[in-house]
Amino acid sequence: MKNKFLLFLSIGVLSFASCKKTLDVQNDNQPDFKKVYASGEDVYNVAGGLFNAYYNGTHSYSGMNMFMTVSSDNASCSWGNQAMRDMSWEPRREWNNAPNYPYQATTKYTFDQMYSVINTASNVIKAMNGGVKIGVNGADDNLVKAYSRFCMGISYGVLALNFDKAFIVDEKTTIPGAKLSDAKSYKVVAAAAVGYLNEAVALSASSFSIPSTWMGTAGAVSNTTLKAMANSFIARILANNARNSTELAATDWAAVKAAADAGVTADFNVVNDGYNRWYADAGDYLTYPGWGVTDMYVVNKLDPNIAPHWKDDATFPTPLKSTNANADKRLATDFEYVPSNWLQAVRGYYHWSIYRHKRYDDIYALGEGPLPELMKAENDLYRAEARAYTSDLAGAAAIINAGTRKTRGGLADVAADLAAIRTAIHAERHIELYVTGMGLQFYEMRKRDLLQAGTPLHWPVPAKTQETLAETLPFYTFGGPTRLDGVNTSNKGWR
Amino acid sequence: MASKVTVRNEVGFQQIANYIDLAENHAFELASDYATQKLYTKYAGVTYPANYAGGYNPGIVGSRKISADHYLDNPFAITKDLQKEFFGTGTNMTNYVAVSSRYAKTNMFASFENNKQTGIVQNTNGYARQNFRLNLDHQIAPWLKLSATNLVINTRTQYPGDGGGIFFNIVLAEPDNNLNLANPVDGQPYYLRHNHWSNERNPFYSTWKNKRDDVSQRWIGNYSANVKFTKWASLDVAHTIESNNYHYTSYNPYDTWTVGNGGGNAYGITYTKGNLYKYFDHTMNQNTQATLNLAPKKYKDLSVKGKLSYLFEDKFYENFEVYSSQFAVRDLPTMENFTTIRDAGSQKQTIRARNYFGVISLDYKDRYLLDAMYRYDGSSLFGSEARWANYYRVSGAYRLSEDVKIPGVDEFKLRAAHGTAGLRPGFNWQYETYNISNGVTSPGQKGNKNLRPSQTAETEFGIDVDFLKKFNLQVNYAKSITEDQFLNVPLIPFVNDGFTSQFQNAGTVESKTLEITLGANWVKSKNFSWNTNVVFGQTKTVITELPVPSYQSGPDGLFFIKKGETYGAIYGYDWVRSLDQMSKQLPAGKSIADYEVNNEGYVIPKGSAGSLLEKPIKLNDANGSLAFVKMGSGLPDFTMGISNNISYKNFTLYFLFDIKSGGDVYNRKSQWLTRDNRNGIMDMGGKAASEKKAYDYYQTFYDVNTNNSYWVEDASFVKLRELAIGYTVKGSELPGLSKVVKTMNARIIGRNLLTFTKYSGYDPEVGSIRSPFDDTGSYPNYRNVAFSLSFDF
Repeated sequence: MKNKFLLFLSIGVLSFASCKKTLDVQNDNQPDFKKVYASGEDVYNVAGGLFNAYYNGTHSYSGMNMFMTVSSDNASCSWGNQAMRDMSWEPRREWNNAPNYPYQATTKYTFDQMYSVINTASNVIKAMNGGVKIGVNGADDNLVKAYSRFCMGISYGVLALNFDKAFIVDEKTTIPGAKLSDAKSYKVVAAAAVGYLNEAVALSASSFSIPSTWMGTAGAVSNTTLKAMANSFIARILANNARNSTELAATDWAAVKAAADAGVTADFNVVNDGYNRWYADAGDYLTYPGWGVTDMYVVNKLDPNIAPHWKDDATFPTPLKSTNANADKRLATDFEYVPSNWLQAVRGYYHWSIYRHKRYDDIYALGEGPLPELMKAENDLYRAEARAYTSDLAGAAAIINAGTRKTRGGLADVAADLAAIRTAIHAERHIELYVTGMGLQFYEMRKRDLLQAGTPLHWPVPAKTQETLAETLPFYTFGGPTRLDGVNTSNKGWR
Repeated sequence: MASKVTVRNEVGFQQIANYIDLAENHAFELASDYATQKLYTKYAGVTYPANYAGGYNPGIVGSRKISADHYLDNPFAITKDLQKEFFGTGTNMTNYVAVSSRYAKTNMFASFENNKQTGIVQNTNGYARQNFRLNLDHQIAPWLKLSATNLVINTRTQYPGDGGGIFFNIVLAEPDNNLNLANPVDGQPYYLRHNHWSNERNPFYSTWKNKRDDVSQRWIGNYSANVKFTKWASLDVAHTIESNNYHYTSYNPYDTWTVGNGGGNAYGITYTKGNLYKYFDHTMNQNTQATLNLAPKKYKDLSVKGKLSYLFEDKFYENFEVYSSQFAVRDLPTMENFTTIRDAGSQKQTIRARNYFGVISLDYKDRYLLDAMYRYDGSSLFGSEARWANYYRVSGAYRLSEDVKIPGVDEFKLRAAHGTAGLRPGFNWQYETYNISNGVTSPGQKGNKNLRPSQTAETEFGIDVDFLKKFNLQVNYAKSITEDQFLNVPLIPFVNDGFTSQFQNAGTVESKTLEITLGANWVKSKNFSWNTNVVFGQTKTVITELPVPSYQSGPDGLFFIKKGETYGAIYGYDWVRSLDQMSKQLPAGKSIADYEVNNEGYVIPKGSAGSLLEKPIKLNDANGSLAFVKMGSGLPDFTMGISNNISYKNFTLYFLFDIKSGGDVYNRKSQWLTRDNRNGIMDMGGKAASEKKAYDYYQTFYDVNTNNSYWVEDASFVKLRELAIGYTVKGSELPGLSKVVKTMNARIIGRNLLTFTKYSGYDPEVGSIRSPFDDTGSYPNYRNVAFSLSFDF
């Protein structure tokens, strides 16, 4: 019996030895707030991801980029993916802002990505305000703060340009128990965006160097480049925030001119890295064989001899390949003739085109290489536009005539005439800025009342966000034939 | 010493049981001389290069345009059944050997099983498994017994290349497509762009080019000791080890084609330059349990038994993965063959739990039975402020037939039980997390230190009846209330430091389940026996409390989670089906006389039947918004299984019918097929003019894949799940083998042989209550017929 109890004891000791192991287990896969913001080095690292989140929010397949491009008659694609078809019906239809809409996540993705940037940047600055020093003796404080403000500014810019309203928060401002009514109008949001960008401009006065991995650039980004970028983004936001021609007339062109004149003097490119961190897949899909084609509206800008619209009729004769010697030279260099349409006739002939964009084919092929996020040409157009609207027509014409319209398009000089300058700027934005910054063509069409009637002029707070805010169905929305107010939904259009 | 050897071999064939109905006609204008061309369909207004044989060709000029009537009644030049080309006949094979022996105080059992199933997708090897089992137990002393069981399972699976997309691409392919065309640039088989008019990939190319293999090795061992201290007290100590290693590799060679420009050719295709993905995970679960069994001597008519048990669970999981693309050197699938690694990741998890149990069982006169259990459960998965949870269960039974004699009733037992149990949260649900990728963090999930297990309180009543010496009946009715459900509650990021969600205990779900089992031994004699078993089940689950705003959830947002709704309810938009409904949503300037109900039961503009204007109308709610309604439910009305075992002399017959009544499936695949005019319902070929509908009618239902009622199908079925016919011969009846072979058994087994259903997909058994959804990428269920021969030596 004694042996039995000894055996029992030994087995018991063995089995209960496991009791020493605690039930408190660490999560070794994802950090928490304390780990992420523990030291200056950590905060520096957190800041390094801000621009990437912005880039994904504006260039990812998941976001709004694709449907904005087709709704502005820049590109055409009848596939349902990411609401492209729904936002390019002719006549236009309303934005389905229901939580069960298959593509509800498009607006939410862009919306949430911007707030991911804003919240993280706010936390970075909050940590710094709380005493965290970055770099040796705070040597990188200025860099991180300037960069964080820059990223906050461009993100609020996206919210202002694309949504009717958004919430303004930062390291000092919170909205406990937020309701939809706490959201501010796009004008207020744009002003906030410009405020943060101006702060970035001021903070960029002293020398620093942003690592290339932060912005996906070929090399480090200097403080002067960031400063120029911030100014260009101020110009982008101010020049494009108008919802109609009336608001366009009220644009602060002096501020646009000041910002653009201090803006970039070279293309700001993001080097796509083979479908890893940096991949502008929206642009890829908008130009990919079998997907997006160039809208005939743009083909007509390149060669006015070609009709700007494919009539929705089987008898409409297929337009012929351009033979116009006076056509924009980029029709041959940046675009490619499509002899046979891949988009389904069932979805409307009006989606068809005889050209596609090929300028970045080599880069999209394997997702590798530099793609413009903000071109010098874009900034030059703000400079010209601001001058044109402030009665400096000669100055505006001079900028355009020194720009891509002539250097790449091979077109004759534009006269110092407001209408001619407006026409030239309009075409340049559709041709030269193709698949660069998100929504540039949409904003151009919007502020000139050229979006087809029924197109939303901006989008409502996303359905899933409204659901979380406990709003009741149906959620407010824009677009469609019954809302033609010219304020939230286009009531005019180019055709 | 006694021993037994069993050898069994099985060979079988696998085939898809059902094909999806696809359109064999189209709506495009044909060239006037289309009938002269048999390789491809010649469309009006399109010119083709000389020697064109199919697939995308940059020399094709012009686009196919639709016929004025929009009917899919124009023929293709050739109508191939591409599903039949794609789904081949697979084989399966099983070899099994087992040896058991008993020697003095030692028992041994060893077996080996080898199983191979090629599956029905061509260019794919399918699945192979090997099992090794060794069980030993030894009575060391009258008071001590040691036991060990070991099972090693090796599996190797080759998945179809490019994953589930191939199952969509094969049904999207048009019947004149030649899937066997060689690539026009480098001559590789299966030209990627097999259809000039579509951008879908050739599924044959996917299966041929992309290799996806996984290998797993699993070992399960259990080692236990039983110590008898006294006649009334013994101790069981057991340690279980479960180890699993899993490897997965996906390899695309350098010269894998993809659609894209920049490839230096006019065909819109380019080499990917290859890519390689490798994934490995390791799981090690170890459980240690000690149980003290107490069985005191019966006191008069009362017997009491008890158990005290302790269980420690220790689970470890780890994985890592590496991906890169663009090989430096061709045909060398190693990670060293890249100039840069594109992506890599790793994870590990440790999960521990401690459980203390106490069980007491009372039995009075073998007719009044009472059991009580208490469990104290601690888990690392619970929030740090809620580490421990209590559970209990009390059950009682009364053998009524011991006291009351009911004519014809052999045994009548009443049962009742009430208890609690809980589900554990997922590994990281309690933690505050930042997403991290490539060293960059972003806010993820808000932590919850108070996250506790969901609590289910279940009350069960049942009866067990044996009657007429032939039948046995079991009826169970259970009602459970689950509180503190896990909900991943969305948060507003800008007021939550960027966090987008938090797992919370919220919501109550109530379930009612009825299970009935009826067994019948119709005949039992020396030469003939026949028994039947019927199992019936019915469950209904309702969300009774939801302290967060109602929200859409589940696959493609098909579920609407709201208080009072059945779990499994499918929500979406509906269509106007009566003039009464239409009268409540008349557009301005219209009267009800402007509408009629068509031959499918949908309201359409009057006189539009058969024309381009025949389109269904979405139903509005009382506010004039689109009505968001319950369209169906994944929950069946009931399920039933009926099995029969019949033996006559040396023959045996077994068959099992499974029945599911009700339970809907959202047929997304059918909806997708409509997008491309490939759905068989759209085919107007051979229909009378009065019955034809334009594609516009069906495209309206397609509705860019918006969830709507048209695609909800009743997935009820009656299925002959298994049919087996066997013949057994005793060794003594086998000339020359009587001293070696004890018995020989031959069987023919058919599985999934027949399905009776109205469901239009491959098989109504797709999806589940949690996912009542027929996606585009599901591997179809298939039929299997096998021949088996086994010997006992």
